[in-house]
Amino acid sequence: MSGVWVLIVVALPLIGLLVGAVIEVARRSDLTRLWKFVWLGALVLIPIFGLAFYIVVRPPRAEQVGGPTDVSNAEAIVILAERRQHGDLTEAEFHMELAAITSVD
Amino acid sequence: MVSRLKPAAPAALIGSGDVSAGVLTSMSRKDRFITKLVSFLTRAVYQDVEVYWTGPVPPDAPQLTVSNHFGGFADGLVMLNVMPRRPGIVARDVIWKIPVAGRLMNWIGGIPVHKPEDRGSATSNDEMFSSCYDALRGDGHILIFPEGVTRNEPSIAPVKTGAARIALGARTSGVECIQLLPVGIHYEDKAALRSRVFVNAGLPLDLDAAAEEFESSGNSVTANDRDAVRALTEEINVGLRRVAPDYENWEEAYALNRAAEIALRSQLDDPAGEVPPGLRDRLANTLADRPETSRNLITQAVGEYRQDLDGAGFSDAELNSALSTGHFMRSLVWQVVVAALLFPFALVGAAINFIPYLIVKAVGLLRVAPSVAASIKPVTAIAVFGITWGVVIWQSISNYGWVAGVAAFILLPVYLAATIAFLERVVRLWRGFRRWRAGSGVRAITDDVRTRRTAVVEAVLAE
Repeated sequence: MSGVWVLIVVALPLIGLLVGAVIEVARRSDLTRLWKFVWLGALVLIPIFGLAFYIVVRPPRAEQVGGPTDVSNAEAIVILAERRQHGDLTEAEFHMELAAITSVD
Repeated sequence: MVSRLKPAAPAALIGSGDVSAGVLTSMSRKDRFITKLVSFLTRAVYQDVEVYWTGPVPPDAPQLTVSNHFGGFADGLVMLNVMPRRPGIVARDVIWKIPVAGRLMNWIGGIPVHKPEDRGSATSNDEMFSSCYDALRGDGHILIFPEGVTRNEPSIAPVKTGAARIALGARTSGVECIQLLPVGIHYEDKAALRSRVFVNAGLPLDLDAAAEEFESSGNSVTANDRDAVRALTEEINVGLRRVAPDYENWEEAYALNRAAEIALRSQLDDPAGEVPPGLRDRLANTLADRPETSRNLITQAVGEYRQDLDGAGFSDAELNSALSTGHFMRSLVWQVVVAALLFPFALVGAAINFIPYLIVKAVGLLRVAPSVAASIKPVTAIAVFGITWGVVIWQSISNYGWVAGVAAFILLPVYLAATIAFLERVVRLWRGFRRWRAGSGVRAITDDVRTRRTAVVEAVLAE
């Protein structure tokens, strides 16, 4: 493999991941200062092994979109239909609330 | 049918993939490793796993999750990925007779259940009940597929009494506050790799509250109380049918899902956007519960509209959301830039993963039931990609030393992700091109077609 090719497909993503890991360790609130220092030291002094080890043992970052989401018209219609299905809304109430959301009644 | 499961709360949580606590989570090393492995495998096998939580689930209470079983092995993988707490999966003991699978099930805390129809199976399930009670006693979490079989129909099979007997038996043995959580798994195409999955988690049923109602009618509530078991099984049945796909037949499943998609597309904030599969599946679920006359009207309206669309050569998305030239050009430039950045990594990923991909494709050609395909395709993919990557890492170590091997271990998932992202971007670009090209044709479409579309929307919303 040529030097440029190795730089692009090997070094570049490794550097990107390494920088990402360093930023993540610095921002983590679940680590004590000592552990942050240990991890940052490992990532800087033995970058490849430190990065591999960090990737394996780091806790998963939750991807949950916390709390209520913005309710779009589409979402509001689905929620109305579910409330009707569960018996929380009568047919008349469903159509009244639906009319408030859409022009269809 | 009356159920204690209350209507959906509007304050719902939507997640994608790993749904757990809000930040970096604290869990045991084993749990952490399993979570990471399952998350990686799920991301490799599916394009997207969307999760909808109807309401909050008590994080520390003992939990018994019941789910539909349409995808075999895939169901276990998906549930392990989306559940905040790793469940012990109750599964048929035949799995333990497969050498590697048995060890794997033990490692992830599986609980074997014996069925009389499985030859060589034990005759008693006392051990299974006792394991489930132990798991729940420690505020643990177990997962049961109460239909007892994998399904190739778009409906829930009769729910068996096992889940109710476990829950009531655990309560009798002193476990309090058990939460019964119904969860529906919706596959876009369960036999395909890189399809999308929607997981619909309903509201948990508090077993203590339910049992008090049984007790007030003079019955003692134990796992041997037939009336209580029957009543609780019915609760589970109703809860599961609300969140999981449950249609009369495939034709109805197709029509109600298309109808839901068409109705929701008109209501999207961005008319060029895609209808989220989760919203579509949830609305279709409610349509499946409508009276037969309403369902027939919707099915008929969808059929007539589809005929017109086929004649015109457009899809509903193209008719409703044709892209303007400006929009398409902006999208084109952005997609090309991203694709160009991904290209070198995607090329390396394609070179490494092409042969395992072909093997998985070949397995997909086997004529087996979709639920079997949903099991063997991911298993094959995990095996062949795992072996290939093992060989690459071993070769890197042999030729360039340990540092290169560790770098390969880090980079192989990156290359695969880049290849998948690149190919999916190309597909998206092609779809965008079709919608842009459809622009002039759509303007020439007669009012009759649009009237048919309105009929579908009205059938969904007004019926």
